Amino acid sequence: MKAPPKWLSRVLEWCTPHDRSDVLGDFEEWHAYLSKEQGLGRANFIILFHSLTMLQLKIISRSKDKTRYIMNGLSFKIASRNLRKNKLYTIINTTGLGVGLAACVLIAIFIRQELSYDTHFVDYENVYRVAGTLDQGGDSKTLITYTPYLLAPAMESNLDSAVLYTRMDFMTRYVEVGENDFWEDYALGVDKNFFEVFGMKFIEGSPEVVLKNPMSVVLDESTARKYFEEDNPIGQAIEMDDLTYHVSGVVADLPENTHFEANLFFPMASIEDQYPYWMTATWGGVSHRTYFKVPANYNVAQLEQGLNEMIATYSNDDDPPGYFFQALEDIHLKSDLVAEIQVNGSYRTLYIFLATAIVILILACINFINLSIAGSIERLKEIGVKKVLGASRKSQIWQFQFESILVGCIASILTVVLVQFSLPLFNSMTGKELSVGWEGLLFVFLSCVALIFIISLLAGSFPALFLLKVPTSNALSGAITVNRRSRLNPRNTLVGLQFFLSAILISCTLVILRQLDYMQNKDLGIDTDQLIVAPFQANSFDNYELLRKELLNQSAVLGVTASTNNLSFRVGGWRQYRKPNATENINLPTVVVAHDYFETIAAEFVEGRPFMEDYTSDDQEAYIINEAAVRFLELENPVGEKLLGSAFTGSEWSNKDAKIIGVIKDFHFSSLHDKIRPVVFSLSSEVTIPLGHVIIKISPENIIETLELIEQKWESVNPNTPLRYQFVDEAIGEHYLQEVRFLKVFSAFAVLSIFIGGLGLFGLTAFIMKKRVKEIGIRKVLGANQLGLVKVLSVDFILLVVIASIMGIPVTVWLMKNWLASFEYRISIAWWLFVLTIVGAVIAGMLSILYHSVKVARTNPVDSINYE
Amino acid sequence: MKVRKHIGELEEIVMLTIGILDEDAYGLAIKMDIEQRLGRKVSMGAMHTGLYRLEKKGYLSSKLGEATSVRGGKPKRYYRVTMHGQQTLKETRDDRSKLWASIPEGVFQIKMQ
Repeated sequence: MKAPPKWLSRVLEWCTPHDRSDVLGDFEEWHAYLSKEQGLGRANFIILFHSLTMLQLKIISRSKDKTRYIMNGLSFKIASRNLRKNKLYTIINTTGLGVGLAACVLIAIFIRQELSYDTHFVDYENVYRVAGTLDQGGDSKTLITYTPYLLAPAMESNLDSAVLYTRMDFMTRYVEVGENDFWEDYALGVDKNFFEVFGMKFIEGSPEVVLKNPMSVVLDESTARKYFEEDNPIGQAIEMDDLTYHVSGVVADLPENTHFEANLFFPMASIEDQYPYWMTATWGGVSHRTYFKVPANYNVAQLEQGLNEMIATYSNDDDPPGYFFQALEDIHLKSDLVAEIQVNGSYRTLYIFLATAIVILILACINFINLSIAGSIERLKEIGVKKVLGASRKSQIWQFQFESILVGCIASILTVVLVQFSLPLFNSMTGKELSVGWEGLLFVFLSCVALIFIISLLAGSFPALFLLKVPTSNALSGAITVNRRSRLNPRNTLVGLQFFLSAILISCTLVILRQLDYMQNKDLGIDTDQLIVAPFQANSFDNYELLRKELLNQSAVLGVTASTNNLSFRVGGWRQYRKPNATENINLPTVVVAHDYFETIAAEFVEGRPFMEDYTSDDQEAYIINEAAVRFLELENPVGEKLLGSAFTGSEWSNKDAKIIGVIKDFHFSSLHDKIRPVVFSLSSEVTIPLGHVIIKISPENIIETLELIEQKWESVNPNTPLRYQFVDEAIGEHYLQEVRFLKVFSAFAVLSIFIGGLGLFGLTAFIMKKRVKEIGIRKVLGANQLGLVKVLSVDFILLVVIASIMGIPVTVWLMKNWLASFEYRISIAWWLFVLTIVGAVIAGMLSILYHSVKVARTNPVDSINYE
Repeated sequence: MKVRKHIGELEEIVMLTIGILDEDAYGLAIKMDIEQRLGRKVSMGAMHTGLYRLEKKGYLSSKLGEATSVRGGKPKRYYRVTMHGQQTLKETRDDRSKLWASIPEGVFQIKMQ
């Protein structure tokens, strides 16, 4: 007779109650019978199935073990009594853990949001953006999000027509709806299949047809409500820059996690005739973003290759621009090209935040573990008594872990509350609109509990294992034979680790703060105070001279000028130049300016003179260049040198061979993110591109009235388009938004880390001081003074904090060197930052210790020696 | 009013089968007998759970038999229906009979023997 195979026996043994060998016998007998009748395989299968049905009995017979219930009830009672008895310990532990976890949760929500960018579009994984290289002179080519206007149509007709293309032109439009008028900053000119590329939710209309008619417009929900309130928007007329459009569709508002913003979509075809010649007919410049959507499982690499081969035939340049594709979902976090639509996020920021979250979690856990150990030492007697009464080792460990879990659950509730209430604050710091619903909060709570369960097992097992080793007789008498120094050591290490991490966070914050301060306050080379810049509509430019005269008549207006370039933007307008004896042309950015440009923005001249109205030939025969251009062109005596260049009206080129009449000191366009580039300044004339921005310097007094005055004058000259202006310093400040937000979040977490570390130290000293009450009493009786006692009590900890902070220095230096490397203009890491950090950490440490050490030092020795 | 003793259908069958098997009523034998006699499948788990519950309630008593070499050296557990169990079985049966007897003539189409 054959016995069941070994694996089956094992399953059987596992499935049946341990005290029921008779059941096993039944199974064996049955197996023997079955294998004879039906074969071994079938017998095994039947036995396996039936063995699983035994689980029910196993569970039922086990839960009849009543002692388990009693023990659990007791655990809870003892645990809650203990937590109530040590209120301070409980509060510190739950607060530290709750705050730490809440910070982690916020970061997790933030990271989830960052990772979700653009994934709300239907079939987002098939959408790509075309980006290309742009030769802007200099050594390396610029990678830019702009592409030529002609690119998408050429791709459509020459490559694969199954691919859907759309171009995007982000514009500011002046919209009139009936009596009302609006400036729309996020008007988007698109091709007719835009909504097929970007699958959005339609409330009215259908994506295939809404943009078929060039004079149609699609609004998002909130814009539709803004224009027409409760009326049905479909078919309504709106006037946009003197063209009449009819609303053909309404889409849901684009969510926050989109890499561009748009509330109004209209076909570019309606304004194509307003585009300059170079844009619509030549491959020379870049102006539009190009997106496309491929069918599923499409070979995108092949399309990319095809595009570049096509470009090689189109371009007569021997070094044609190279194009590459960016997946839509990667744009927000991975793309860092020139002219990104919005300030993108970066993986680096995510990693830094993730690391910060982990650090804070570690800090909170260390508190938890430390306080559990400290608190448990007081309970040696309890353990001794329990041991004598015959409590098992297992139940004792369980007791400690149960208490930890209880604290953890309270902390989890606190976390949920904190997250809910701090989210608005966090949103204002990050500039996001994050939210969590109640399911989200439930999820947060459950994951916190799960996490805490793990931590608790860890935190609870430390004291349990340590205390259970103490011999019972010693435990009962309350004497610990382990010597004090070694007992303190693991805890010292953990406190040291806390301050080590906090010191790193603090000194990093200081470095980031200094870098930001440096960038915002560094002398740009021009005076941006009270400087305003207002965009000029193309058709109103003829009025510039008139406007200028009117404005200069006002005493509060100190200067008026104009240029093609907005001062808070990067320089553009690339033109070719050549030194007289050179054969090769060089591309240089060119800024066309009106008179008084350098005077108004207070740029300094190194040598030569500015453009002057007295010299009427300046518009034809003069260039001004900056120092970077002098270096770039390798000129020894720039003033008087000839430069062979060109001028461009937007449709026609002409030559402009002129002399350099002045060299201007380098100044920054835009922000310190960009390097100072070589720039050529040219005076505006009939053969240059129209000036697009008026720049006005006003006096610092009565700014509001002056602005009103300017507005009046502007409207008298330019009745059709209202004035829109921006202060240059504010506009430049917006370039630092990302850094400012980063700093805010990071410094908030650094402060939290110190708070948690301090909290832990506070709780820990409370316990340690209690242990030393007798020692202090005896010291006092022997004549120690209070100050000396405080010193005795604090010196160990302060030393620990200082050592930990010093150990953090090299880590900080390494981290910050890497971070700073991404800035074009950066600070060096000063040594005093670290002194400041150490001083700060010591103060935080002192504050946590002082309360207890002073309290202990002031107790009456009679009481303290009597203690117990 | 009588206190109702809860007893399930399978439990009733098991108890009756123990009665049938008399001296030889152990786990597997009970299972096989039910399957043979009634033509219904009983899972090992369901049956042993039933036996366990009935014993807890005091309807059954059991004792372990001698260990034999046939079953891998494991003993058989023999069950007997206790007096209390027998009473309960009888009550159940009486209840049923009462109900049957109360059904008016001609309501059921089938004939009782």
